[in-house]
This record gives sequence, C-alpha cells and structure tokens, in this order.
Amino acid sequence: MERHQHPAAAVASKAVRYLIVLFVIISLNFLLPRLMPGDPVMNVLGEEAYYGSPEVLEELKAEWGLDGPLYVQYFRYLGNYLKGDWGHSFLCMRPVSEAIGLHLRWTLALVLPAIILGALLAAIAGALAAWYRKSKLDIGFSATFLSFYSMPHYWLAMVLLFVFGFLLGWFPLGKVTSGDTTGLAYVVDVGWHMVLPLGLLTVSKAAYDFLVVRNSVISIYGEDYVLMAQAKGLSQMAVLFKHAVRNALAPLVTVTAIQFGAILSGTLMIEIVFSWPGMGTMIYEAIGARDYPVLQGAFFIIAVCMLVANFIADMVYVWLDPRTR
Amino acid sequence: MARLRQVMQGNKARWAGIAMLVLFILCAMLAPWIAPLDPWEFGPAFLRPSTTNLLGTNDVGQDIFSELLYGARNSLLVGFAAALLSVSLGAIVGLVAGFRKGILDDLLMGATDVFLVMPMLPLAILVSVYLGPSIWNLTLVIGLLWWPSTARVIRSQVLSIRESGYVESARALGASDLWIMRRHVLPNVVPLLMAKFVLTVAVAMLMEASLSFLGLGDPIAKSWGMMLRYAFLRGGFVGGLWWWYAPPGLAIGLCILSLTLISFSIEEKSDPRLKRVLER
Amino acid sequence: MSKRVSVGRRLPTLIIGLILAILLAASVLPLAGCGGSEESGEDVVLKVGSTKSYKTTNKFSDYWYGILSGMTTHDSLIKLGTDMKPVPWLATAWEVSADSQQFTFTIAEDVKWHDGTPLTPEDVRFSIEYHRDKVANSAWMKDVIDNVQVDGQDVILNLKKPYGNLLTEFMTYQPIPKHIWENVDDPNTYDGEDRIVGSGPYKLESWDETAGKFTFVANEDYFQGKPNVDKLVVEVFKNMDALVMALSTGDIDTWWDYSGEFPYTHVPALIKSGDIEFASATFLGVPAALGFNFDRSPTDQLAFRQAVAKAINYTEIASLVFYSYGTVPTYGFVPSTHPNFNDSIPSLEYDTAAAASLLDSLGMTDSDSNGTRESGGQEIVLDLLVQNTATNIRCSELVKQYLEAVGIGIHIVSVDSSTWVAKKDAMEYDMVFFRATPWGTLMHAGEGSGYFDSRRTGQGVLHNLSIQEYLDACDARLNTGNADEQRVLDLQLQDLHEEYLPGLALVWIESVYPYREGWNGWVIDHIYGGVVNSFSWSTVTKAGN
Repeated sequence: MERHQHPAAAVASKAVRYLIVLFVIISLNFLLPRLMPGDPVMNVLGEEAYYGSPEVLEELKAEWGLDGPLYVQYFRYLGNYLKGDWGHSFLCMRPVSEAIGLHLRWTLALVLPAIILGALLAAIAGALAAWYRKSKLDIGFSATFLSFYSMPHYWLAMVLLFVFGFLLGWFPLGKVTSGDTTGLAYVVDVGWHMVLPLGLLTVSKAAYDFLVVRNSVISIYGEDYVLMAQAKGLSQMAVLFKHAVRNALAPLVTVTAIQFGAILSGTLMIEIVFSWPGMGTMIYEAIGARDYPVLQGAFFIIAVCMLVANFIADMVYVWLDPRTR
Repeated sequence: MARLRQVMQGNKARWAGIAMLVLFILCAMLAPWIAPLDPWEFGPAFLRPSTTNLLGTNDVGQDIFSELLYGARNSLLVGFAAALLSVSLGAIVGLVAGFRKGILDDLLMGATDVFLVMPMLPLAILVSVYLGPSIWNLTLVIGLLWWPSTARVIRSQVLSIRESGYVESARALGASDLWIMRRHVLPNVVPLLMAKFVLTVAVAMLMEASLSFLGLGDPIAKSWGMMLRYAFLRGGFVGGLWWWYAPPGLAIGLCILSLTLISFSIEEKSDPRLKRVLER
Repeated sequence: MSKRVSVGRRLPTLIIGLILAILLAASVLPLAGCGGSEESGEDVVLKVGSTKSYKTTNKFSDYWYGILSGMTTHDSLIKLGTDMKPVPWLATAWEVSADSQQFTFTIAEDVKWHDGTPLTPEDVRFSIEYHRDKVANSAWMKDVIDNVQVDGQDVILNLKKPYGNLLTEFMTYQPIPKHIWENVDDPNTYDGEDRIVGSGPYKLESWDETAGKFTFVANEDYFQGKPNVDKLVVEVFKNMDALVMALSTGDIDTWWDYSGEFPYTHVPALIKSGDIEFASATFLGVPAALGFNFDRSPTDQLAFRQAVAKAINYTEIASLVFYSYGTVPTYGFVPSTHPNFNDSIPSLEYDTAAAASLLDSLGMTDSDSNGTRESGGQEIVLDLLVQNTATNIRCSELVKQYLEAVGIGIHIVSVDSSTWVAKKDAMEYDMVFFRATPWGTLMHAGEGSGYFDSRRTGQGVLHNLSIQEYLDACDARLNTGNADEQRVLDLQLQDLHEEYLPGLALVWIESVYPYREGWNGWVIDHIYGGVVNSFSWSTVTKAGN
C-alpha cells in the first residue's frame, strides 16, 4: 500500500493513475456502443418511415456527427469531451448532460438513502447479532439477511409490486410521482412512491453490510480494550456501540465504495420493474436505440462516480482505521 | 462477502449448502429422466397445478415443473462455466501481475482498474447484444467481465507470499520462479480461488437470470431467468399465477444461498490471512 | 486511551454526518413538481395508459409523441373512416385529376390554431412543403410533389408523377402553423414552447416527463365542436404488467398503443377485476408473418416457400399464441377487412404430406435419416431472424417445431430491434419474422406491397421481391387515382402475392381493447388502433356525466 509514501505523493500518484484509467474508459465508451449492430439514424425515423433517398440519411448522420471515418469521429468526440460537450442524445433530442442530469438524480435519490439506511440497519443488526452470537437473534438476523442476499432482486421487486402495490393497494404501481402536485404534497407523493424500491434496495444493501459488520465486531470480541471497557463497568450496549461498531466502520466504507458503481448501474433491473426514470432505464433504452452519446456520457459519469467513491473510501479508511493513524 | 463464517460455524450450514447444491445438480443432470413431461411440448395454456402438471402449465401450455428441472441445466451450466472462465482468467492475470512486477504488472492492474469502474450490468447487456444470444455467448460475456476482482485478490496474495521470509530464502538458494510458484504460491492461492469460484458461480447465475430476463439469452433454451421473463411478459404476475413466477425465483435464490454457505465453509478451512485479503 | 475517548466523541458527529447526508440525498429530489390546475369535479376525465417511450413534445423528433399528437392536438386533412374509406376532416372535400397528378383539397373554414390564429389554406400549403423539404421521414414527398398552390380555400398539389396513394399517405400528416414553424430550420431540435400548437380537439396542457404523464384539455373552439371528454390524461408505463395492474385497480380507464395489440395473456386478469369491458375489431395489420430471402437458396425457390406455407399449423398458432382470438389467414397476406380484399384467394392450409412431397420434388431428401433434409449434400438449416419480444419468440418456437417436423432445420436468431433492422437490411437471414402495422399494409401500393417491393426501404419493410410483374402492378396502382382501376389492381396485387409468396401471414387476429365499465360510444379506428382516437372524442360518454 502506498501509505508509507508521503501523503501528497500518494495522492498525486493515485491521481495520475485515475487520469489514465479515465482516458482508457473514455475511449472504450466510444468504441463499445459502436460494436453493436444497428444504426441509430434508422431508429429515430420510426417503424413505418420510408428511408427515401440515401442523401437524407447522410444529412442526418452529418447532423449527429456520425459521418466520416471512425477515427475522425473519435477525435471529434475526444475534442468535444475536453470542451465539456457530451453531445446530443438521438433518442431524447436534448443535450446528453441534460438527459443524464434528469435521470441521475432519480437514481441517486434511491441509491444514496439506500446506502446510508442500509449501512445503519446493518450496523445495528450486525453488532447485535455479533454481540449475542449464536443466540436466536443472531440466527434470525443472519438467516433473514442471507436469504435477502440470495434472492434475485428484480424478482423480489416484482413480487413486492404485485403484493403491496396491486393486491393490497398500499403503494403505487411504480413510477416516482403521480404528477399534479407541488410543494410538500409533491415530496410526500415522491416519498410514497419510493417506499417499495427504497425498502428493497436498503434491505439488499444491508444484507451485504450485515455480514461485514457482524464479522468485524466478532473479530474484536475479546480484545484487550473491549475487555477493559467492560471491566470499567461500561454497559454492554455502550461498549458495543462505542468500540465494536466503530471498528466495523472502516470495512463498511470500503465495501460501500467498491459496490457504489455496481449499485448505481445494478438498480437497472429494479428501475425497469418499478418504471423508475433513473440511470438504469435510461441506459437500457439507449442501448436499444443505439443512442451512442447517451451511452458514452452515462458510462463516463458512472466511471467518474466510481473513481471518486474509491478515492473517498481510501481517504476515509485512513481516517477511520485505528491501525493507520 | 467473506464474513459469515462464524455464524455458520457449525457443519450444519455447510452441509445444508452442499446438500442443496447437489440436489440442484442432480436435477440438472437427470432432467431428461426425472422430468415428467417434455418442457418444449405445447399444450393447453395456463393450467393450474395438478397431478399431471405439478406446477401447472405456462402461456403456451408447457409443463412448468419440467421447465424448472431443465432450467437448472442451463442456469447451472452458465454459472459454473462462466465462473470457471472468469476465475481462471483472474488467476492467470493475478499470478502474472504478482510475479512480474514492472510494466506488465502496471498494464494488467490498469486493465483491472478500468474494468472495475465500468458499470457491469449495462456493459454485459451491450456485449450480449453484440455477440448475439446463446448459452455460450452468455457464458463468455459473464466470464470475460468478472475476472478483475479475482485478479486483484490473487495479486495481493502473491505479493504477500513473495515477500515472506521463506520465499526470499528459497529464492536466495536459487529456486526458480516456477518452483516457487508450485511449492509456495499455488498451495496458498488455491483455497482462495475455490472460495472466489463458488462466489462467482453465484454472481454468474444472477447475471444469467438478469440477461435472460431482458431477452438476451437463447430463447429456445430453458433457463430460470427465461422462465421469469415469460412469467412477467405473458401475464404470470398480473394474473397471480404464483406457481409460474415463484418457483424459478426461489430456485435461483436457493442455489445462490447454497453456494454462499459453501463459500463460507471453504474460507473457514483455508489460511486465516485470507480474511484480510478478501476484505479489500 | 486518549484515542478511544476521541473516538467516543466522534461517533455522534458521524451520526450527524449521516443524517446530513440523508437530507442531502433528499434534496436531490427535484422539487419542481408539475403544476396542475384544480378541477371542478364535473369534468369528464379520461385516463389512458400507454407503454410507448415518449421523450419530448416535439412531434417531429419524437416518433411516439408524433402519433399521439396526430389524434389529440393535430388534425390531418382526411382520415380513414370506419368503413375503410377516406372521410373529410380539415379538408371538407377533395378532388383527384384523371391522370392522378393533381390533388385538390378544400380546407374547412373557421378553423383556428390553439393560439387563436386562423388556420388558412396557406398554412396547409406551407406544411406540405415543410414536410417535403425539412422532415426526414417525409422524404418521399421530394420524389412526388412538385409544387403546392393556394386558390381561395383550395390547396392544389401538382405532382411530378401520378401518385394514386396520396390520399392514404395524407391520412398520417397533420398541418402545422406557418407562423410558428416558418423560421424553424431544423424541426427535430426546435424546442420552443409553441411547438405543441395544433388545431386539434385537445390542447396539450402539460407533459410531466418524470411522472410520465400527458395532460390534454378539450379545445373549446374546436371546429367540429368541443370533444365530450374534457380532460385527457395519458399515463406512460414502462411495462405492460404495471399498466394492466393500473387498469384493473382503476388508476386508468383504458389502454392505447399505436398499432399495438393488447396482450391476450393479460385479458384473464382484467376479466377477474370485474369492471373492465372489451371492444373488439379485426386487426387491419398482420401481427405475425414470415418473410423469405430471395437472395438465398433455398428460400428463393417458390416450391420451397410453398412447402413452408404448408408445413405450418395455423390453427394451432391461432389458438396457442393468440388464445383463439386468431384466425387462419389466406395466401393473400392482408386481412379480410381491407377495402378491396380478394376473397377468391384460398386459405392457408396445414398439410405436412403436401409439404413433404414439395420438398421431395426439389430433391431435398433426408438421405442420412437424421431428421433433417439435405440439398446437394448440405443439411438444410435456415436462419430465422426474430425480434426478441415474447410473442415473436413464442411464435417462432412453434414455427421451428413445424418446420423441423418436415425436415427443415431452423436456427432462431433472436435479436433486439436495432439489430433486426440491420440484419434485415443486409439480407442476413433465410427467413425473417416480422409484423405489418395497419397503416403499413396500406402504404406504398397497398395490400402489404410496401413491405415487399424491392425498391422500398424503411425500418420495418423487407424489400425482398423484385419480380417485374409485381413491381409493374405496384406502379400501376400508384399511378391511378381511379377507384375502379384501384380495385382491379388491389385484387391483382393479392393474386401476385399468392403467386410469388414473398411473405406469409401466420395469423390474423381479432384485436381487443379494454376499457372501464361506464364508458360508452367508442369508435374503433383502424389506423391508430384502438378505442382511443379522433372519432371517439365526439361520441364517447361516461355514465353519470
């Protein structure tokens, strides 16, 4: 680990590495969507459209920057990215940055609370399970979270939607809002729509974290300072949450960072089931329509999010882990 | 995911996992003999469970129970084959990178960095569209995209072994790389690979279920993901036909559960240092 | 020890940090909801569910909104009536010259755009030229329309060549206001607020992309009278399952998707919910069809195509995949509701013995007795190109079984729609699975010729048949505006289809259109497909209102 280096040097070498990775990714983002057979222009014209004269198609291609040899397109694309121009979506007919902004916030609106709530839930349940390990509580928690971890999430999503949305009618049948509301009513409406997908994501995130926390807490069980704290007469709970949980935070943060990208794009299936207008559904539709600019932009932003998450995780890890202080 | 071992310390959990997995594998292998009906045979649609059709029939009258048995074949096949591919790839990259420091290491680790920050599921969808639908392409996609985490773990394991005293002294005594690899590295790395392999089978099965659900699998081959796709698109959920949509989902879940339990028990037996490696 | 103390102090800070992060996440929620006006309660509100992917309210760049606007905010000159004949709309009358080179439309008076400006014949002239010159998918007009002139209330189109199908084509084009569009050079990227202005029975009040919801309000000044439904809400769903659940719980009143078929698999769930009724009509298009590649062997041989036609069990497809809403088609491709349906053409027949003897006569025999026939020592295994929707795949599974039963091996190539188009255009298939939309069967020279004429190109069409006799018949049909001549040629085109068999309808269907009990007086529009259409606006009523 670079921790032995001077901190500034470590940061600098990491930054250079990230920049190289980012460049490779930008290039792959250009290439990968173009591997797929199919022509974006024809998608936009629609099912019954008459292609007509080839000149019309050529004109459209030129308009969308799809004309000329591939390498020319590539350098044009690189140039545009340097200028901060992510291009124009063929499918949404708006700048890519706008389309991504619209969808990213809805994914974040699910993912950020899910990560935080999931971590909290896992911290509490994991710590309790570890403290009272081999008790009924521990076995109950472990079995529940492990089952959640194992079930395909999109299937669970469909079952939840069917049972709580359709049969019981407690929650809406997907989407983020019913529209026609403003102010507080709007926030409440969105919250109501979020319950099922957020609940599902939170529990599935917690299922993973639970195992991490439980293990970390068990590993310090019996260590000197914990025993000492107990000897000093601190209550069980105080010892648990002061020392044990804190010890589990570092690995929790690492795991979350590593998973962040997976969660960000992994909500795709859940978004499809819940008609959630997030990044996942946007990417899925863009793949179907061969909307290269949107795919490039979305993959780019996810990569950046991942790199930032990794970077933060490294920093936070150093800050949290007693061994590195 | 490396952490459940103490919970399931007792042999009970491990054996439950192994028993379940063996049961699924038996179902898969014996499907042609134990399936009561031909799952490709059309007939009266949407029948409720009965003695003839234990789980009823689907939208074109195929026997769901037989589909489930045959589905185990492709779901497990893709899971194991993809995991084998990805873990082998990861192992090779990890070993090479760990042994040959320098430019090769930098290149290989750069490649894993790139893969690790790409959104996997969208990428898998994209590559599946490119390759076209078949069981083997699905395997290829999953296998080729899931090697980086293995590579990383193996590399750090190799590095820590390399720097250990006994390897240094073996090297000083003139031992060849190959000899060191065989004598010291492989024995330490194999249990790690086993645990990784079992977990990757689980990941690959979930991925297969997702890609098939999106219609990117072989449409004729029976798999659990494909069954869920039809249940979703052809009225299984909205009609409340639980005998159609529940079994494939539960089958996937139980398979993953059994694999997870097994992976914990493998880890438990192996080098204690493993724990720290897997954490990262 | 001091370290631990500091830890203990830091924990609350961490928790506060987490709470702050949650608040931050909550603030990510876009707070700008879409403002809807308060309703007076007595308004008749119709809520329609749709599963198409709508992106913008620009009718030129958004294919699906373009179609939606065609029956709400915009009017076409003429429409296809329920009797399959053109009916007046913005044009109160029209006239076709004897040589079919001049079309005259008389535009209704006192029509107003939604912004209050009168709709004039000049707007119509402008719109036609605008489509011809600026709209990519109207590029065919460049080959056909020479100039457009205005004479009083008349708009006169002078064509470069005779074009008898112009009336049909014009059923799907809607005039746009000149004062808004005359300065817009690229219609695709125009994002002015006024791009939604039309003359139709509804005004678009709002489009909430996040909620997936269009709200249309009745146009009080509509030239045909204010529509019965005061407010039309179109709710967009990402999948049919969610839509059907919403329909059965009462969140929406009916379903509409352009030229889509309501999935029969979801009908039982709706019947169970109790208050859904179904209208039905014979679908004007062909929901499932096979096309043949004339550039490849053996599909280039007529006898082979005929053998395929005889090997398929149409009755079983109709009952298994289309749940008895299907009927067995004829060799003529287009269904019996077509205006000049040729009823002398025989129905397709499932006859494996006849299929086998046709294949034998082509020298294709199974000499190694492995179940698959050989031709010139080669096993016959054909690529069947299919778009990977559930119904398509189910149908192809059946077709595969039927053809394998007579010794023709089938490899199903299941791909997404973009790949399908690419492979179809590159002729990379032996047989292709496709569908014809209602309007699609009428396009070009009609009778499905738009899908088969090799000179056509387009996303959904096969352009596989280049036999001169067929092309000549298409040209002759295109060149005449005379109804009697059209009838003769329509019949001939269907005969030729039977004779050359470029494609095979697998099923014709009775479409079902679900709607909530209490709504009455629906009209079924064949082009737009369903009970939700321009005709229903003036006829549909809601019980109790």
